[in-house]
Amino acid sequence: MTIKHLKSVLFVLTFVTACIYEGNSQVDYDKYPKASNSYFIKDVYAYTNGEMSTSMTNIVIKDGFISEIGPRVKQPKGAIPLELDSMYVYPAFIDVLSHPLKSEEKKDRDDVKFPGLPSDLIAGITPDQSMTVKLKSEKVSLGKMRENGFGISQLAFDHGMLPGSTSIVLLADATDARGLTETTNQVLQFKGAGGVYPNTIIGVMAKFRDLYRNAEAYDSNQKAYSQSATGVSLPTSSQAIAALVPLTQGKETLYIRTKKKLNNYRAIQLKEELGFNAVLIDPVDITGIEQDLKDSRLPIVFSTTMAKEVKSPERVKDSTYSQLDLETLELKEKAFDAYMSRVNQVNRAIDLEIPVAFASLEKSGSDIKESMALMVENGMLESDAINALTMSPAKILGIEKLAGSIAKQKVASLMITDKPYFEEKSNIRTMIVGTEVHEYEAKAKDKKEGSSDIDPVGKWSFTLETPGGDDTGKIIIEPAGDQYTVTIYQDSDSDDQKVINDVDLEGSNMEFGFSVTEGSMSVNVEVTLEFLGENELEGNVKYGDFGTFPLMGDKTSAPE
Amino acid sequence: MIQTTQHKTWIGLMATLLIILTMTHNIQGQEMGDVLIKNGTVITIEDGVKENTDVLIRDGKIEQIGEGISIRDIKTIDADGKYVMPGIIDAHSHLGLDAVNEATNPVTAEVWVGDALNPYDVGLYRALAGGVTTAHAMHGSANAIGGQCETIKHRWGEMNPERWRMKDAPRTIKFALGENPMRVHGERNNVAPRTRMGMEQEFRRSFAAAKEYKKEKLIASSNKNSQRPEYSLRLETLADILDGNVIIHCHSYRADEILMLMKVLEDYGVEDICFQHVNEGFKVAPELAEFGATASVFSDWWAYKFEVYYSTAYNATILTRNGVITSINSDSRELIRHLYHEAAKTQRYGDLTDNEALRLITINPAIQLGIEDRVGSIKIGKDGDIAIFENHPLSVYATPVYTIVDGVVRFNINEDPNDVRVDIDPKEKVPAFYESHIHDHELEGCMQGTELSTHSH
Repeated sequence: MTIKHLKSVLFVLTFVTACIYEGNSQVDYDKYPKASNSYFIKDVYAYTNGEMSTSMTNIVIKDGFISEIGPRVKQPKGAIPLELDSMYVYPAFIDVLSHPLKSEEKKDRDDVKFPGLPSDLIAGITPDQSMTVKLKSEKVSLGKMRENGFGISQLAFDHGMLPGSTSIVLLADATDARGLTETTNQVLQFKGAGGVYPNTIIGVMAKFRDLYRNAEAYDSNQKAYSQSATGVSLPTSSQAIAALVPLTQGKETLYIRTKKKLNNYRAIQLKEELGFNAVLIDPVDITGIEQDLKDSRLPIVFSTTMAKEVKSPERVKDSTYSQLDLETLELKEKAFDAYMSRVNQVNRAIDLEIPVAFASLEKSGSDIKESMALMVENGMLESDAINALTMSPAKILGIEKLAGSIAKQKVASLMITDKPYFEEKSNIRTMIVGTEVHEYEAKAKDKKEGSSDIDPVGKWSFTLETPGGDDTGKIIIEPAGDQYTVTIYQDSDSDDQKVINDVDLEGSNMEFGFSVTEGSMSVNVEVTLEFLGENELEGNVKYGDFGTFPLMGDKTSAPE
Repeated sequence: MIQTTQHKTWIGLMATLLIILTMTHNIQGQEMGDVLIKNGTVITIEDGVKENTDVLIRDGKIEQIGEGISIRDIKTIDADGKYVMPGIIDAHSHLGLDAVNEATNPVTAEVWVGDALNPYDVGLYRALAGGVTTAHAMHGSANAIGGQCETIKHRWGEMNPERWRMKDAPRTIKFALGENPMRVHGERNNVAPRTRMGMEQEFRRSFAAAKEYKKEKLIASSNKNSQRPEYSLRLETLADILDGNVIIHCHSYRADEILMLMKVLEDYGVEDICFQHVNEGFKVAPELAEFGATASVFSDWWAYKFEVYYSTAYNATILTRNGVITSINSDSRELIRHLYHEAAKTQRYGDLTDNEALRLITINPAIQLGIEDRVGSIKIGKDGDIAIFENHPLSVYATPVYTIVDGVVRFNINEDPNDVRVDIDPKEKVPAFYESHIHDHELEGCMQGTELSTHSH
């Protein structure tokens, strides 16, 4: 879609949709003439060319685009003035990949007669599923991401190894105001299908190669057929394979969610073998493999929670040095160094000139400011930080002509703060996304350090996926002072329980362990839980060396 | 004054650089080293034992073997009073793999454990500390035709799994007979194979399908108008086996099944096979020899499930005496640390000579992996893979003191850090080397990832 085309679409849509926003964070439209599609921003500082301007400027937005910028620009007739005097205007952040939909319910695997040949749906192979179509048919709320400073995001499904094609949108409320580009991409996750083929990383790798080669064959058959159908039968393929053809043609990019250091190498392996365009998503920790990643020439997209994910291990205090043996001391120092290495990894990637950006994934970007501040505190340049959230992701997504900076002709995707973004107690006060303007109150008070909105207390039921099938059980979490007591029933119908005391909630995560003894054998079980909201959790259960299995749960009730 | 200092620094820097350059060369990212091992008792395996002999490794390859070799500016190891042998080779290991079994289908020829390499597994360093320089990282035994395996070199410290692969080593694939695949698929999933009869049909069906696939491809390529047939990585791999491009390594115990598989292979013209475990190999040693099959066994490990009761510690000897190329493997992160002891047991049971016993963990596994032209003996032109022992490697007092891979010292008992981890997770609560020693090596053998309990191997 050309910019001109987009403009006219947005123009028409503005009239249709200007009044149907929901929520309470927008401009009070009754104040303004409803039909206007122009805004005038006067006397603000604007972030351009990698720095905040030192003198104030004015900006005119028309039909969802920036039409004028400069200190002498006057308010056009009919343009709505926005009261943002002396505030700071940034290009809104661009989120390379997010999963705004609640994870779909697990498909019933009991119906699978032969675990070696499940349907594509159960195997998690649905590249034919389209986010663009989903967005038209289902109401998807994107307000939370916008609240955190994001104006554009690539929305993606998150189930299975090939969850579906993505959609790059403006984070507007009105469905029709989200249009930005027709470009779609594919996502690959190194996620087994849970007890059916492909179950493991080796299965997923092999299955991907197989699908890809079949997509190539299908493409070549179709081309041959279109040249001469005489004596050639009509090419056929599964929907999944057909959906991968644009990737094999270089028209789409594969966003590979790696989630694990070694998976980055697996992603690179596939890319080099098969030759598609790729981006690495959520590499977690690139310590020690930076040069190899640079050599792969792939952009790296970090999770917005990356720096926050690990709580800083406590450094050993001088006074306790003497009480520790050298070995323990060495281990503690190493843990701290490893933590610092993670905090600084984005900066190291930038130093190596690797294109970097961020993805909110399941988190709506709510940790972005804290994460970025931590990195800046530890030596990242503010301009590099802003670039990694604006121009760099725009280039990775191939929308740099449309977005990523404040410039004439670009889409109005702006974040306006009351103080410079990285200054303490700065607030996002207005987000402009295309034709929509959303205003926010300054936050009254900072939240208590380390506190979280998550309340894990209650009764939860969970499903644990093991290669031997799914197990169901329940978890009861009760408060115990600042900590929690967790009771876990490995089988919902049995009284066989484990009680774990003094469990901490760190952000939205909880970790605890216990051991299970059967006969002469005892196995250490380590559980990590992440609360995804009020009523949902997911996590992993590590059974000694048997393996780590995914767990998903829902809240069934508050404690009785 | 300042100028002089700078001058000195520059010379110092250049000297340092020169030393670095002469010590290690990077060839395609793989580190190759130079080292001179002086005055050792060199157990060459293929050319006798040489007292007071030096071994010179340059650029990762053995360049010279002899007395009084003198080279300036080279890393030198004094092996006076020590034993210098080729790096030990383990033909059956599951160390350093993030996945071992794709246990969802009885035939998964398309999967490849080379995709799951995990060079950060501390077990690999411990294997290195047991003198093991090369291992056959294998798919497990859950499936009749499991995945392709990967021959790796223990280049501890290399973060990139790509640099652990032994480049140009032949492709290998795991097959499995008997109880394991029958239990995983027959008992648990209620699909074939449920019986040993069914096992045979898995192989025949797979090879027949691969033959058909090859034919279809041939027809398609010779006919301009025909469409490209559906691609199957599984059938491609099976076809590669039929074409003799992949060495089979088959998990096996019972003699009847071993004979069965040889018959199937004969019918399809497949020749390269190494039987793994092969506890009843002693019953069919002449047949194995005649077929040209090789055997990779445990020294004295059995009775962990019904089909493994009929076993003997004389297995390696009987096979050897019948002309079957035999090796002793670990299939375990514990046994891999002292394969030299395992080899020595064949002298207690069977009176193998020193050379015959040491061949079981050097040149013989190399032959089974198709890498005997590269490793397995101390010979000019071979890879600089060396294990140096205090006391004779077949002595109960043997202690590995240096392990060298491609001329790079990867283990040195005098510089053996407390914590060797190369990938440190700040969230890890218990450091890896404190982790309670897993209760039983069965838990991490070739049945890992298939179920939560019971047997292995």
